Amino acid sequence: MGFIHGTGAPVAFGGTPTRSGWWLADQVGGTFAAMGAMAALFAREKFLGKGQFVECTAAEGVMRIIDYNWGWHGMDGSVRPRYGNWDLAINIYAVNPCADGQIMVGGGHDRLWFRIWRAVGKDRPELEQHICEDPKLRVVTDRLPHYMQVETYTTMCDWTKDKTRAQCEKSLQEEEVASGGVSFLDEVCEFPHYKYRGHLEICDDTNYGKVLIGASSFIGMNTPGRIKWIGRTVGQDNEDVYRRLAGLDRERLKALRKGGVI
Amino acid sequence: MTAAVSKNLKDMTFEDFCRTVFDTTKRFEKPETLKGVRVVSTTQYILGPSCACYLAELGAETIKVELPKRGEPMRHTTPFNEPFLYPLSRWMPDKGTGLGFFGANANEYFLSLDFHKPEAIQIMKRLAAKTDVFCENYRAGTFDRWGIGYRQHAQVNPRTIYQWMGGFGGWGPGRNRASYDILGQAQGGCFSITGWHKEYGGMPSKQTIWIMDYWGGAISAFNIIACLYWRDNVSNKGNFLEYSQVHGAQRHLTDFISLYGKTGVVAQRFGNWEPLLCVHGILKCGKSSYPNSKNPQEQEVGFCFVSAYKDEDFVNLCNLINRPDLAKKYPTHSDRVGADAQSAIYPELEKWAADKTKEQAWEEFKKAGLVSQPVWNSKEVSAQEHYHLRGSLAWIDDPTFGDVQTQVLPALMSETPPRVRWVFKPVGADNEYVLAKLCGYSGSHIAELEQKEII
Ligand SMILES: CC(C)(COP(=O)(O)OP(=O)(O)OC[C@H]1O[C@@H](n2cnc3c(N)ncnc32)[C@H](O)[C@@H]1OP(=O)(O)O)[C@@H](O)C(=O)NCCC(=O)NCCS
Repeated sequence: MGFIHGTGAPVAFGGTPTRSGWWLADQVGGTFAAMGAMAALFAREKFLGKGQFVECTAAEGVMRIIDYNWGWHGMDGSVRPRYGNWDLAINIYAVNPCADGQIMVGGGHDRLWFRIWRAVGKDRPELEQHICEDPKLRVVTDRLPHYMQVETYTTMCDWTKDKTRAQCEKSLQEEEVASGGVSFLDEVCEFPHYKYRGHLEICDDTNYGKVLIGASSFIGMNTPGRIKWIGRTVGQDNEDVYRRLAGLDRERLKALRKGGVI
Repeated sequence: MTAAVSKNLKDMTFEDFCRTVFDTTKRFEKPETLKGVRVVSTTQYILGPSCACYLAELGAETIKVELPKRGEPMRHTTPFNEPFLYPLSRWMPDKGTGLGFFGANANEYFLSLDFHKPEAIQIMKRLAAKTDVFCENYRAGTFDRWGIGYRQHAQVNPRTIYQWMGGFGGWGPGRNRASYDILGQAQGGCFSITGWHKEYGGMPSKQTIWIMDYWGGAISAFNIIACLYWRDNVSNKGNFLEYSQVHGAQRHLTDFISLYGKTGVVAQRFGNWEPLLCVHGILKCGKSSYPNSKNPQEQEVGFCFVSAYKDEDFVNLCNLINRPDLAKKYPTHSDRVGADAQSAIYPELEKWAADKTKEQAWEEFKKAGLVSQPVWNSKEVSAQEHYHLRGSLAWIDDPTFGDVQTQVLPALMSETPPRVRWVFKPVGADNEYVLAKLCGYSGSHIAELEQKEII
């Protein structure tokens, strides 16, 4: 839906359209479907007094959240291109290589832009000077054209290339700039802040034993989300549902089982 | 179509039934889902704004509050500094709003307030008494410091639902860290598993769009609606909600996280192939569909997704590419799904596709009964009548900007459909309307606030 066409590096950098490494479209489509259903419940109780039919597709879920692609194409026929790990609309806002991996740095508006270069300038004052004295980089929007982005990130990488992700992060965070290394999944799972907040938890599941999972991200004072089990085996709750909700007795359940219906 | 409408709903085919109940030309004749809910959105960038925007598309009266005159930072972002929608505000008619702002601020009323001024804080407190939902994504604690956070609003209005959104959360050792979408991607874990593997010259890759923001906003909007339901039907209580971008990512990477937990294996990138299913990936087709286009985006060779992981589909696919030997060599799914097998199978498929455009490959796959889809760019998607008929894409006559093409909330609803009335408005466009209606301020009072640069 334009997502894969737009993800990955441009052809000139050897890139191809790229899929997401996780099942993003399903997750996004599912979120919108849940939102529609929840909204329908709200309306039913509030004023409608009846239910309704809600339809949602994964493709249209992704189309809803694909930034300004439709507006841009509609305005002047532009086709959103791939731009690798940089951003078409914000500078600085990118992931670039550093000594032990890749580092994200972001801060497009002036407050953060100058703080970023101050952090860089502590080690490499000539780089800070080079950027801050360039009149072409003074206004937020002037920094957006491609050549300006090349200049920014070339200068930035001159600084990051000798530093690890942790070192970059430390210098930038001293200036309260948004930054962080690209984390692999083991690093994510072991990250102290996430452990402290319980982003990851071990679910001691009656069927599957102890499983490490991402905890519910609905954090609420009165109604926190929670994961009680990760999944039941097929038909595990037949007995409960058919007896309690459908009112079937033992004989009829047996018959259904025999007939292969349930 | 008209015939279908007049027929009894019960007797229609399912398709006609759907077409009738979801008829997008009737959208504006039906009630709105969140009618009567008031939302105040003190948000910037995409995470917070998109959350408020979904509520506005569902019909909530949503008031967006921004910095006077310049507005929020996203108005000053646009691809390559080219497209802008004019004017930025009545005070700056020669400047425009960048397209970065597009898609996350529809249907809202625009109020400007400088929170550094005490009068602005008073206005927020007045609004709090009449507001159901607050959406906010400044640094955690900024609003509390300004005296207009959840704690203060709840004193005025205990039924307040307050959703804070951000990167790392409002508590914990990393709480002070600033965040953006791309940081959520990088530190949430999904960045490291996207892109081509090292052997293929790839690096970890960003999902091109502001996914952690737009999607985090959707997750938050869902939670808000659930809390509205709980407040009105169960408890009569408000709520303080928090959403962390990295947490959202982790919640949805569960199989990878469980893999690490059980086995210590760290999932890696696998390019356009799928580690759990084979064949289920994107093939490079050797030919461009538009070789004579002047646009480099269209000169590129095509790509086409194909799925044939079931045994019988895989046999069909192998026959199609004239390699029945592959079907014999990898007869079951477990024979195919390993990394070595996938590395052997995909290059053979791409050899077959080397002299085809994506459309030609798609045709052949369809004929063989396989699920497939060419990779479309934004022009090709815009041209699909399907989406315009379904209303997920729409050309609207925007009151400020004229004809614009926009996306619309994708949950089709038969009784209370979502809709886009305007894509956004200039900074402070509704100052007079909001302050007169909700604060009871007179015209001269409002003019004075403007003069003092409070609004
Ligand atoms: C995005 C982010 C990094 C920006 O950081 P920041 O520019 O330092 O801004 P803060 O969130 O601390 O907001 C406070 C500042 O906003 C400015 N501001 C914005 N709108 C304002 C308004 N209406 N009135 C007054 N000040 C305003 C002020 O300058 C204020 O700083 P000050 O009180 O020190 O002068 C930070 O807000 C953040 O981490 N948010 C959570 C994550 C998130 O949502 N990111 C965006 C999604 S990509």
